[in-house]
Amino acid sequence: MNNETILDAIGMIDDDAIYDAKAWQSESEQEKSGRWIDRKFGVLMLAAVLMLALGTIVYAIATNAFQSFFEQKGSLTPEQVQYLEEKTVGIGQSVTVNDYTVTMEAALCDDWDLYLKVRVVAPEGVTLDFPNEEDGWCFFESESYHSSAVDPSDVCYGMRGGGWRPLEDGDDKENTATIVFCEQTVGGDHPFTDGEVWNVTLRNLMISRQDPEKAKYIYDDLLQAEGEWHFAFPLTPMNDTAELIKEPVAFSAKKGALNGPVEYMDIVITSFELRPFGITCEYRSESVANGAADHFDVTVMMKDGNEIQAQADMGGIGQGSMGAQGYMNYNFNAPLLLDDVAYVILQNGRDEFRLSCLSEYSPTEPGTGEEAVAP
Amino acid sequence: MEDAQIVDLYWARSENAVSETATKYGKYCYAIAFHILSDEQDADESVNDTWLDAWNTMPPHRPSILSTFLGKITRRLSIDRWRERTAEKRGGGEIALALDELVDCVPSENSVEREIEAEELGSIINRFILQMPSQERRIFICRYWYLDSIKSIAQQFDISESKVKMILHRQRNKLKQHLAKEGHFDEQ
Repeated sequence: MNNETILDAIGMIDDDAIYDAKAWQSESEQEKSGRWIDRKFGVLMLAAVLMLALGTIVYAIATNAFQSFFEQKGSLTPEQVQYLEEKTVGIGQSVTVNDYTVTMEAALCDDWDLYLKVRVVAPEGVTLDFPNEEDGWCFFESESYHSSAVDPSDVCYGMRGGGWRPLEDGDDKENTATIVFCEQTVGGDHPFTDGEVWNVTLRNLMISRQDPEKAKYIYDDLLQAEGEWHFAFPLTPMNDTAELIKEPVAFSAKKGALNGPVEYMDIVITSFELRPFGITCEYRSESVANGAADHFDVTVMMKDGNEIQAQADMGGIGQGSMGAQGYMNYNFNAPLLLDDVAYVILQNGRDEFRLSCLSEYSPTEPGTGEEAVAP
Repeated sequence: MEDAQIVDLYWARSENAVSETATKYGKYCYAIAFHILSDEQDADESVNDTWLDAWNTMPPHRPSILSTFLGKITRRLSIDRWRERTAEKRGGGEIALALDELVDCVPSENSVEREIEAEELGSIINRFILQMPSQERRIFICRYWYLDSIKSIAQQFDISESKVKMILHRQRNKLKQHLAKEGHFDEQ
């Protein structure tokens, strides 16, 4: 067996899955395009804000550490900005390895979603900060973190759905970069718990950049600085959670293509936890077909009438002796203030279901959002 | 024109079948071919061969998803064409990068390996892919079936390129573990 054999074998995969991969993209292309424009605009605005903010006190920088990050994805309400300020933990620990100084500036988390803001300073003459994300960016090859409250030999989190994103730092220096790590670690064994000290290790600073000798959009990952940067700090998770399921709810999850042949899988939702940065929906099903548990759309309706669309993120399904159990994760582009949530709508393209934040629910007429009349 | 109507044209042996197919799926198939071949002329030829292949297989075939049916033909023909080139002329392109990445899934020389039929391997990989969470599955397919670039995938899924790379890296490791679990080689 060689890599070409595997490439050939991949050519035989399920038609529905191949179709779904592109159908999903075509459907969301226009929306994504709009978001890119919004993001670029947001970056420019934030760069200006950051320039104006230079010279202000360190405390202000720490408490607003993640505002610019979230504003890349859209504007924040004053309440959300205030929420971020209250919940961000300013850390300010610096570690130097091989002449590269890494500063853990700030952290932010709810029970299961983590954000870390990190600043890297390289020796003079090294380029870490590129004019555009398209030109390149720096990131760490791997991360691990565990709570000092548990045995690190038993629990040491690897990444799940994590990733690094560059953030404009506005200092015009090529040898410095600010990056944000986002982790959706739902499915792990230990939540981010208030008062515990978390040990975080970042390994090997990498640069991903386009090779001018190669074709456009082809990037190489290069090891920039080998080493391990260790940090230890407490987290203050936003422990606000809302469990919207009082009793198991029967619903259908869509599987297969979004805009082609759609199939439905009956599931029983056993938990639907709303958090400031994400949602975890746990379910079980007796009718898993092809092992593919897909999703439904989740819209959070705010009391002021605004709608927030949750983004489907990592999920998974596992077969158990009592049938299939699985979960779906969603996250938000901005912190969700749970007190301001009116209700949540689940939509699978055929049916709708309304989940109340008072742990009550009522079915709605498909496509109308109106409460259904009991048969 | 609806897919079912285009398929009906093939079954009726109408010459419009090819032109309607080219109008609706020409760009789609060309993108697949170009990602593999990185050459406009070669990509054009692969797409034209796709229409011929489609003409020869419908009837008796009646695909349920026409786009995927055509895409599979384009992908197969383009990879064949890519292989026909001499090693020196194979050039870069996404297929070379994807193949480099897929080395992660291949057993090392010292591992215990048994011959495996391509069809059986396809079935194993199919099961692996269908067990993936939806977003990971789509990203995997975009990279290794459509041979989309990392950049393009990041844009389509609105995530960073580093996240795409990390997801793919994990998927390749999982695939290797999956193949080992299926007994096709010892995990190193």
